[in-house]
Amino acid sequence: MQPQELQRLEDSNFIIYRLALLLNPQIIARSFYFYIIWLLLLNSVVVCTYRRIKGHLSAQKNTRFIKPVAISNHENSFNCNKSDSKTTITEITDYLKTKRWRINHKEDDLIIAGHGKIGFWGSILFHLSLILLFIGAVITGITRLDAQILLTEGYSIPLIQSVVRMQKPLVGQLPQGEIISLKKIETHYSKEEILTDIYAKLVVGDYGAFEKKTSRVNGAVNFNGYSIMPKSYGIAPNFSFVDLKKNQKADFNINLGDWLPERWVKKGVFDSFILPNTGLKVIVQFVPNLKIVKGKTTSHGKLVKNPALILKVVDKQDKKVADGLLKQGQSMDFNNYRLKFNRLDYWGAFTMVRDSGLPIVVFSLVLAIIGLSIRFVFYEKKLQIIIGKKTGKGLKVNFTGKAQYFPALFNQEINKIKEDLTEILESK
Amino acid sequence: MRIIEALTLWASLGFYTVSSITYLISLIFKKDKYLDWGWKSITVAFAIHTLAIITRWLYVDHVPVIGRYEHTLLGGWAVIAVFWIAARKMEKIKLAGIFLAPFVILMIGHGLWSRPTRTTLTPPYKSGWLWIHITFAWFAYGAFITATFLAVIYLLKLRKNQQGRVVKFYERFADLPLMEDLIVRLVAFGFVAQTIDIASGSIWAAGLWGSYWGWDPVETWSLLVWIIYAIILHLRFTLGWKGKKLIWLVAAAIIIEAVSFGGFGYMGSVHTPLLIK
Repeated sequence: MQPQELQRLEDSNFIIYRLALLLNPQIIARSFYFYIIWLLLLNSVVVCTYRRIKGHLSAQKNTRFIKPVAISNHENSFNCNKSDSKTTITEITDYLKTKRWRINHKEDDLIIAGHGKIGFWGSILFHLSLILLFIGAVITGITRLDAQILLTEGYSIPLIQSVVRMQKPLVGQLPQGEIISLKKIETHYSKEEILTDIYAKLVVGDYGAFEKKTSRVNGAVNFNGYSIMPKSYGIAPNFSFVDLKKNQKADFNINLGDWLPERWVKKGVFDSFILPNTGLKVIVQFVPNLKIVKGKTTSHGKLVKNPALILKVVDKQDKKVADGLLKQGQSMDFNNYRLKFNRLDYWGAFTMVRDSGLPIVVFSLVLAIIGLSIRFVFYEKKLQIIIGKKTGKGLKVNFTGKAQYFPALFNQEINKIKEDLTEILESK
Repeated sequence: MRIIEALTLWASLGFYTVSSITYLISLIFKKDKYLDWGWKSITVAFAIHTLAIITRWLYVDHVPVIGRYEHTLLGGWAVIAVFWIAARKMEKIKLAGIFLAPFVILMIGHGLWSRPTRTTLTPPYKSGWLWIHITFAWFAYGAFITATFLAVIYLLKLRKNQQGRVVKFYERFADLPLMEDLIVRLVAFGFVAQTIDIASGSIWAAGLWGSYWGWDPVETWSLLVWIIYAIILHLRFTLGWKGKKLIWLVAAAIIIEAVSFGGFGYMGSVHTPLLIK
């Protein structure tokens, strides 16, 4: 649940707010009890996997040289007009092989066939992948660095100085010698003025070796083990501020707004910045596409086509000193100062992550899918066919079978095998 | 393209309605030939439904999974796809279409309630993982829904059998052990699909936000669904649970699935733009 929603709930319904706090997954996930549950689950998976492997291997050892007599949960039989059990067994073997049964054991009057033995290893693979997933998650939990960096177009700074917020204060892991600069933020919009893509052209490097890289949403830049991905962007107008009395000039960018253009054009949303050493504050409203209709300033659309800034300069008592509307290249004078809006630049906020557990987690997820697929596609089935003593009509073919899963469906399969074999053995 | 999409959508809804009516006639008037008509209608509806999805895809120029309308369009298709494949494997569950066809009509109707306007993919959704993540989520949902309907039929049939009463409606379905196997198989398939859904979502999130798990409400509930169906499969395959108590669990588990898909998507979640519009 988002903090704003929690805040809303706290104001409207205190009981539900307390419940929401109690059941908040993010809070539960960080609780001591939750770690205990995961540990117990991990323990269970490890013990069960070990016992299953051990059981499987010892079962194989025990049955390797012993003829399995009763493996039944399905029994069936039919009489055929064959008189020689050896040729009958050969014909049955050929049939079973065409149906992809593996012949485990064969005698003159007996066949033991199996199917889907690999399924067991699929299950083991799946459970081992879960153990690996736990290990990956623990490594992530201990070593992950998750920081937010803020860059302004045209500025180069040491990567460590760009960090504005960190999930975990692991200073030792932070990059030390790396420099980063944001060359350009490029945005793409649909006809309906919906943001469709953000590209951030970055230059990253250390000790003189620099590389140009483009970071975009779903396309992180990887550099020295860090992944850098765009999170949001906003405007950073470039100003020249001139003290006309002292004849001093300073150029600077001010990062305004904290979200995408949809927020900027909302009524009543203003941003502000302080003019250093003057005691004056400038309140800014951004107009992406300036149109003046009947003397009123308005914006036609949210896309930046004809940018302008509506400025209001106030003193410490919030008393208006000056106001005006500036387009790129225009300036306004007040109290022996001049403020010029040079051009519109952008700032970009990026997520910077270093996660040593991630490759392990991804690998384990892939293993889990492979393991599960093997488990349910190849489930273990056994079939034992014994040729009985000759009756009046011929030989008696006895079936016994066992399926690890889905016994009723296997029964249907056994009946089908019986029908096919009856046909084969009767026709020859 | 918009007209073709509308035509195919309404035609498929029409055939789902015809299917529901013919199934009902077959049931009320005890005429088995209408049962076959019901099945054929659902097959035609499914084919046209597929066309509707393709035309929507061409119209919006991305896999149609943004907003409620596109979601229910794809979700309804996945439910019928799973049912259709299961019924091809086992003839005697075709009558379950009597529940599934109206269910899909209601589902798409719920989607149509929102404004099915042209949607645009915003940057986070411009990823190949999108269709993998969502398609498998809906296949899991389809498998669990079909398993639930069959579980309800199973329990009703079992009850009548225990009372010693023979009701023709239930006799048209497969024998109980066969139905039980099919239900468990559907749960197993749904479980694999849900695993792929969660795994693909995690890998996608790692590349998008730098974190493969964020305890988002939909994420958390998906994990809960996964754990519950994992427990059901373990009860069956490891502890040997069978029959009534296992099938009761399958039927009850859908509540968690419904909350995961229908309820918590409406709360503040990274999945919200996908589920609501």
